[in-house]
Amino acid sequence: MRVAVELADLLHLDLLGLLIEDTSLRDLAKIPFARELRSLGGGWRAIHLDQLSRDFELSARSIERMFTNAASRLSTRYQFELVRGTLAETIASISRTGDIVMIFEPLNPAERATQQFTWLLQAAFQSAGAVMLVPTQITRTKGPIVAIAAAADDPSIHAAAAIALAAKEELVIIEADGLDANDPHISTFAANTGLTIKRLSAAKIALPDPAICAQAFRQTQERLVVMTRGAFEDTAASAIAAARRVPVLVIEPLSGAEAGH
Amino acid sequence: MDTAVTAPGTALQPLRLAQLYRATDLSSLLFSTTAELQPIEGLVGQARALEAIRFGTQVGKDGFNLFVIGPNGARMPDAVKAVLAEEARARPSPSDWVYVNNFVDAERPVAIELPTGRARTFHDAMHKLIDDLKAALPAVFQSEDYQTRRGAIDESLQKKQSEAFSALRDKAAEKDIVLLRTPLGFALAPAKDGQVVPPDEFSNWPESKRNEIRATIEALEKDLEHIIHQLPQWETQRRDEVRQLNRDTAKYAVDQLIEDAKSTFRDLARVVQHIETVRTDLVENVAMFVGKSESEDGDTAEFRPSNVFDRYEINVLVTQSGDKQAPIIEELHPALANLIGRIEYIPVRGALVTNFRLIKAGAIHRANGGYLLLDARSVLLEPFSWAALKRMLRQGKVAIEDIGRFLGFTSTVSLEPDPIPLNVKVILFGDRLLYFLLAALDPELAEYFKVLADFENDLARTPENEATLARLVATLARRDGLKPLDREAVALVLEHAARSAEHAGKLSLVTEQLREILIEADFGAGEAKRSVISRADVDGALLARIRRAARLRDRTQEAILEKVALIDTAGAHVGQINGLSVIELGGFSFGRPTRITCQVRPGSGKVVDIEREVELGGPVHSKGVLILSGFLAGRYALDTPMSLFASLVFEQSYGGVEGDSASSAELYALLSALADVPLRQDLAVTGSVNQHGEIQAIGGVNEKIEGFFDICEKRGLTGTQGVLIPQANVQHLMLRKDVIDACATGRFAVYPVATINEGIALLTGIAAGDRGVDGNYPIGGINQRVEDRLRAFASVRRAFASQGAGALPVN
Repeated sequence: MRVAVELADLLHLDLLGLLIEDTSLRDLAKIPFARELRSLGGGWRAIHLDQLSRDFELSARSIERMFTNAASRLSTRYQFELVRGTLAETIASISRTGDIVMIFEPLNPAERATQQFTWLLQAAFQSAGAVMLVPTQITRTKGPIVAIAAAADDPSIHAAAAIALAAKEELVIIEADGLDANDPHISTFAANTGLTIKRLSAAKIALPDPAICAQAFRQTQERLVVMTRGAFEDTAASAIAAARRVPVLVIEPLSGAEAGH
Repeated sequence: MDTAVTAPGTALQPLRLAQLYRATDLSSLLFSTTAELQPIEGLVGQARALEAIRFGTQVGKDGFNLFVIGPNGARMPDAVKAVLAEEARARPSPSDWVYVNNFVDAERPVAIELPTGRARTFHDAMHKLIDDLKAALPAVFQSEDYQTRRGAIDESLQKKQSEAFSALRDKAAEKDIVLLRTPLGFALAPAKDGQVVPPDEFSNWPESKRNEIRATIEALEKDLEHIIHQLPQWETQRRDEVRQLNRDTAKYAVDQLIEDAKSTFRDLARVVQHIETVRTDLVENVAMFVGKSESEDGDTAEFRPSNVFDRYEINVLVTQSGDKQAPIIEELHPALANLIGRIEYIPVRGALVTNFRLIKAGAIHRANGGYLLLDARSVLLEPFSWAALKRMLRQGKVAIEDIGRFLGFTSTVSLEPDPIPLNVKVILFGDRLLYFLLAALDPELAEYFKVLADFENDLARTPENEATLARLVATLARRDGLKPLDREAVALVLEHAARSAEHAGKLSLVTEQLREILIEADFGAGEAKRSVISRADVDGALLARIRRAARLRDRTQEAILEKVALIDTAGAHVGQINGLSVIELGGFSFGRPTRITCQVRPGSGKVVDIEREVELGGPVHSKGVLILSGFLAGRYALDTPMSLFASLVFEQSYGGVEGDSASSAELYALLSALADVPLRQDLAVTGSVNQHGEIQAIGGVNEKIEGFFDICEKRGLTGTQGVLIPQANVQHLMLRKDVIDACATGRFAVYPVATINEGIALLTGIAAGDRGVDGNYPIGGINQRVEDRLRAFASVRRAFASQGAGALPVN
């Protein structure tokens, strides 16, 4: 939640906290033998609709309080909403181009295995907005912004540059298809923005591999990675987030320039 | 009147000038100013004390500490320090001591002894180690290698967990079951096309299918339960692996640094042992120095503030820098904390906390291996200090105690630092009264302060000693940066020393008083633009000192001159005499005459001291008056009961009277009253008397003579005025120059008196008369007149008794 607030603050974005009460759980509660395994040694308990509603309400209050506390220092607007519906439909209906959907990787691997997380990922990547994947542990909160670009005009470069300017950080461009030393785009871009830009090259196919990924980043102590959706394998973003332990922002192919602006 | 009883030709003669003042004899010392004199260091005229100090400082056994006593202003500490400086050079420089953290029990810091001067090196080496660690540890824990290995461990766990849950998810998916997150846990639900089966649809399923689904879910629930039960164990494994990685990483980072730190101290096993302890602590507790990451999972990326390394710092408690000799420490404020050290606290979020770095050394730590100089009165006035000093001397070690904790002032956690072995020679300074009182009241004094060094107040005034004291004067002047003194100035300073000693044949050793005179004379010389201090400067300084302090004396004399206080300095009166007393206030003393009167009548043989009756007379004064009864009883009318009532009083005395120096004057007044013979009022008397009528020495003779002289001089000297002093006090005379000048021209006189007979003859002009072979005193003599009067009183008393009127009222 703190990362979301910091990003919103950095980019002067409004922040929306969205708690979705998944209707599939209400369906489950109506099945006679449905029960849940409560965490922390709570054991198996039958699921009742009224109890489920109360648990949701309590969770919602708690999460809203945490959200409000974290967001209260924002200079931009913030809002918390509780929505009942399916994850896919809710996210699809709410997200707009230019939004960033932040997904925090669950601490508990069981949560990652749940159907809701699968639905969430699918919904996020199918939404109109960009997606930020936040790993369970974040190594650094300061350092360069890395753009992993498939080409010199990759939108991720513009988005990363905008964030680097806002955060007063260096921009590092990892060119997945190899360096073109004569490419005029980068030098022009550096001159226009005043940014310090460092260029590295990496094999596009190898990035999801943690060892190769570490090699590609070399000694870069980045705080954020930006890449363009569709330019890499589907699993690349979450693999890089896990390997580098920094958030990865996956932007829409056409929204990069807008983000840059 | 019979010629036999008039004042005889052998009557008392005034003292000669040479007896009134003894000039300095500097013939054995050739110099024109003190600049030419060799300075003199150490103790002058203190052979007895010097022997004691040398003995006390050299004998190396427990309890042989020194108690130095002497007069105030003798500058005993300075003198002793001069002796000790010599002794200290012969003793080795003591060890350094440091306190380090106790990694097993932080409340008991460890004391480490190091050779002289090595503590600072040790401190610097550890400080450098810490600086290096501050750079090396974050670097190694933020390195790619560490991050990769750490990531691999986490990834391994994640993978293990993910595989287990993925397997469960896949297994469930095969059977159209999905895993769901509920607000408080997990649940398994029947699914169709990846979505939970709506309840209406589920209820429409055949019962057999519903039962089959239920059985499938129950089986999967067991799998889910099994996996979840394994999670803590996997997490424990991960933590162990991370801990081992951290240890290995820390060891890699610190090993070389530790070896570098040890290299300088290979010869000091205790230091090497401590550094090894530091290595172990660093490796075992590296998590303390590596902060948590943004998550709460104990990531190692971010370092905590540098103060966590303070536990490896060195607290240099005491170190001997440079001086290759035993320390000489004088503690002027021996409060307990200043004496034995203290444990300080710092506020942290409203609570007071402490650690080994806040242990502060006391004077006894700094003096350990050398000498500790303390003022006894100051030690006794500070709560707990005297008891603590004795306790340390008994135990032979210094234990820092937090007295606030004992008294309940602080209830916070405190420290119990390792005690440090004690090898110190304690030297206490005090006045004699304090020492004798302490010796009487505290039996432990003799146990811990076995050596007494008693400073002399004065030394014999021989030409050699005068020369020695002249060199001391030169030394004092030089030490204070004063102008040199010429011969005459030195002579006057020495004469003042004799006056201060209250003895023409002695010289005061209270050097502080001499120093004060020199400073004031130097000021006077400076004002007069003289480069050398002259006799006039010294004389001026002495007069100025008196002038500054003499307001009360002047007011007293003024009262006499204005006849508020009745003192006659001419004529003669029966039963009235001028006694002399000394008043000492604030270090200045002066003499003043006091009228003493006596009345007699028949009675029961009692001499009443009115001062005593009203409790204004002290015991010694009362004793003096009671002696008068003994004198009368033993000398007169031995065959007749004593039938006298006499009352004696110090007229216009409204304060306490103590001492017996006026007892001869009282006796003269009593004899005058009994003999009905007037006493000369142009004379004043001082001296005590015994039962045989012998005049005994008193104190303050110079001030007393000068006190009466001042009154006479202001009224106009008649040439008959003077003072009767005991013969034994002649040796003490060092009178003021104006008094001597008056005596020289016959305008004033000082008479030495050995017996009452001599004194009464001078005061009355009538000889006392000795008892003849017939048992009678010469007719007309004072003694005969007194005896007759006493017999008359006895007759009166007998007459009353025979008339049946009973005894006279008892007075």
